[in-house]
Amino acid sequence: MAGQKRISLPSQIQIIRFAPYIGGGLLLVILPLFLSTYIQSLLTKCLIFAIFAMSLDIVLGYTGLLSLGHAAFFGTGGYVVGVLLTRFGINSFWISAPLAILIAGMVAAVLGLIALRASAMYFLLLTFALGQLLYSVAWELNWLHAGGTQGLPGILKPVLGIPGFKWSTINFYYFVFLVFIICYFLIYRLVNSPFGRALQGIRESEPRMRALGYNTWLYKYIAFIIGGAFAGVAGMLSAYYKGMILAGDLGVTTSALAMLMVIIGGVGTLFGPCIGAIVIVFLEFFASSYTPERWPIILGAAFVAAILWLRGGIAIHLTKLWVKRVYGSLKSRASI
Amino acid sequence: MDGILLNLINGIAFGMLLFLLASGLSVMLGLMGIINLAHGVLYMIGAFIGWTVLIQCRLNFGLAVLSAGLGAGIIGLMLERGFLRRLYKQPNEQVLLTLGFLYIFTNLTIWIWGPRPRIPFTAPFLAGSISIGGLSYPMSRFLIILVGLALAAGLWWLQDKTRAGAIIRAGMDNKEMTTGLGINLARVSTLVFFLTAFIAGAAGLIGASVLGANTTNIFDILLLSLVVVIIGGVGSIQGTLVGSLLIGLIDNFGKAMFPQFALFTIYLAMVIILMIKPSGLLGRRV
Amino acid sequence: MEALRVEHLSKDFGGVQAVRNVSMSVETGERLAMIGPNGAGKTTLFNLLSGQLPPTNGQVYLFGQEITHMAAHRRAHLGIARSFQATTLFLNLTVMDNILLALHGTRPSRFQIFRSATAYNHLYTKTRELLDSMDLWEKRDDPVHAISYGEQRKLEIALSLASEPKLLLMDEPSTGLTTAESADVIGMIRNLGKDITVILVAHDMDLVFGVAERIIVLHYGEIIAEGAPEEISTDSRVNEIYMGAEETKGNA
Repeated sequence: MAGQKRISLPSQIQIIRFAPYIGGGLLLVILPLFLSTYIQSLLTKCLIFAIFAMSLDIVLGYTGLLSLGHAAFFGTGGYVVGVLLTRFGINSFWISAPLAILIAGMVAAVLGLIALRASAMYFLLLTFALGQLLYSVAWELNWLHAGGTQGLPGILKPVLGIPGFKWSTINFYYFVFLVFIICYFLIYRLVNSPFGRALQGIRESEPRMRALGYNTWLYKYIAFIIGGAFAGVAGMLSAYYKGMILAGDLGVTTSALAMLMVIIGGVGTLFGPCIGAIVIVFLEFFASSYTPERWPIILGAAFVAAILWLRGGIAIHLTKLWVKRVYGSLKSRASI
Repeated sequence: MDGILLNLINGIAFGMLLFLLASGLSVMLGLMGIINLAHGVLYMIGAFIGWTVLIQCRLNFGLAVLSAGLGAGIIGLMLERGFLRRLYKQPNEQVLLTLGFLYIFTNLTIWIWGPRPRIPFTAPFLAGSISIGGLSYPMSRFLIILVGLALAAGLWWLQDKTRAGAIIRAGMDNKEMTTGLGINLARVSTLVFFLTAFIAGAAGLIGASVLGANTTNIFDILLLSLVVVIIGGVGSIQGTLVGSLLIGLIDNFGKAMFPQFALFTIYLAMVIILMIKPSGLLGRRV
Repeated sequence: MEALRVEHLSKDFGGVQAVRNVSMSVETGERLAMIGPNGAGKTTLFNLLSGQLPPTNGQVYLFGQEITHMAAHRRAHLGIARSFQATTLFLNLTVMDNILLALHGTRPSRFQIFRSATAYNHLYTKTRELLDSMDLWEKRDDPVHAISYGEQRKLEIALSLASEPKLLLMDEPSTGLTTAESADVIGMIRNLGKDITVILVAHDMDLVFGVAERIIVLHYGEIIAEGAPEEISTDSRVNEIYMGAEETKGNA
């Protein structure tokens, strides 16, 4: 009835609303202790790509910019770490990490200036070309080659400066998990802030946003840079994880992988891309166990299927299910 | 001096190959509003089918061209019918979808024919060379140039001089109106799709005398074709031809002068061109 | 004081002149209606005024300041607000989110990255006011694509009022509304204070005659008539253009 004050929901119901997050978080913390180091390693990879996918989600899902060159920033993060280690002997995490994120962001600032001049269709091709441009530099520049490969091998785990600390699979997992939680929290605040809402507005109706007083180019540009910075975080972690960084990590295949994760998982939600990352990483794992040579076919097929049928993404369906069945029914029971 | 002439001919030949591909892309985009990145795949498959027929089975060249074209044509048709039809007017989705097919077909080709690339090959009767001013140039290059010119002439004649051309042009400009006039645009578009796919496949075999058959360079060729379409303007045969020759020459001379940074120059060229023409790929249509 | 002055404004679209040498002046607090058949250039003119399109020729002055080539978003900060004819609402966001976006648009908080968008208590009252005035408070958590077309049109108007504009450009505000809803809109426009200037584009003659103090008639991009409602409704050229359809409605 109009005018009647709404009863605030009991705190138990509020907890139910966050239950999936809490449950998922607990699962990710406790479960790995009971799994083999191989699976722990796989989960680490999932979290790294989850960060990568979320970073693309800022640009793609929330702002609506289809970027096919996002791996450029991912790779940059990894290359900064690799170059600092192999060319300058710097192995401290506290120096490498901020630099990796900073430089990834700067690269995004430069590429963003170029790419955002274009209309939507050209944006896709331009980001693709720019990503490939960086890939070709890494492929052809000898200064970025080591150990006979088109990349930098021999990247050791970072030095944290904690006395007596030694890296193992499980504590690297918790390290990555911690970074993941921080990133998730930061991005969550971002997308729920007025700035984040503005990005969604731009995605929905850019002319309207301009009429309302928003400098839409600036918003897209800042979103692009922030997305690039977070991609750099993921790339840096990936370099530590694999122990190397390759030219291909900058190229379209990696970008397409991230895009697939976002599309499958669900555009416009934050945990959607995380789910997408988990799906793709495990898909690749199974493919590599049974048919390693046919992985591109599976990847391509996943792409085609996602474009044709999964437009909303898994996350949307899961969210609807959750809201309808559990949260919704509890809520209606409470507001008597 | 001779080096320059050789590069010139090679550049023109390569440009013609690009034209064979780019014209298909341009027509598809203009007529059906479809961006089909998998078009490059048809070229690659054509080359491999052609190899099988010509080299492995030692059948004649004409048959090889026919099978290459047909194979590519059928696959192209499947793609259009099955998938691309659903994404009319959704360029981003088309790009992503055809990217997926790119991966699928590239890997399928490796599966069927193995990962080893096939070195440049051609029919025996084309294997000779022609002497110009005391130096010899491979005959196969000239075939490419000839075929390209023939296609350009044919397309121009079709576009400007025939009723079918007028229909296609009208369809490019206003799909709804043309359909309203009772012209079966769907059938025309299927035919056009098949033809462009056929040409792409045949081009793969013809171009095999220069590029051989392999699965690694299709990205680059596709990219260059896209660049050509962008420069040349959608639906303009002349523009596509000029653009193809330009890019072919740039690519060839670029590789000759800076062999180390071949990849880099291609992508840099693409970035620059995309920056200069940021008004939208659908050039003639708003 | 002159709120808006337009001098020799033209817009060419590669051969088609959508707006031809339009000059006019609007006083603060005035209620001006622009009418004309479809294709007369009304929406294009609005686009030129709100900054969505750049003019080919001419100048636009807002409260004495030239804004001819100023970007659309900056004009919003100078006090222009616009409601659109086609639905440009944020369809996948909730009604509340739409209003919040509109409210933040001209406030510095729009660059906030950290605080939650719903944490701004001082905006709550404004939100409530705006939504109540359009009877949309109950539907505040519904996604916009789920509310009725008439409610969407009302939301559109609410959005344009959010920035407390000084010059309000309304493009066909009552399209798709029932008679009762249109009457609400008329009443609402009437109740806007005298410090808001309103320029209205409309086909609905009830709305035009219910609100306008002055009418401008556009035809093929040119102003062909201008004056008080009574003058316009009896003008022979205007009636020619509208083929007498409005004669039966206009004076009801």
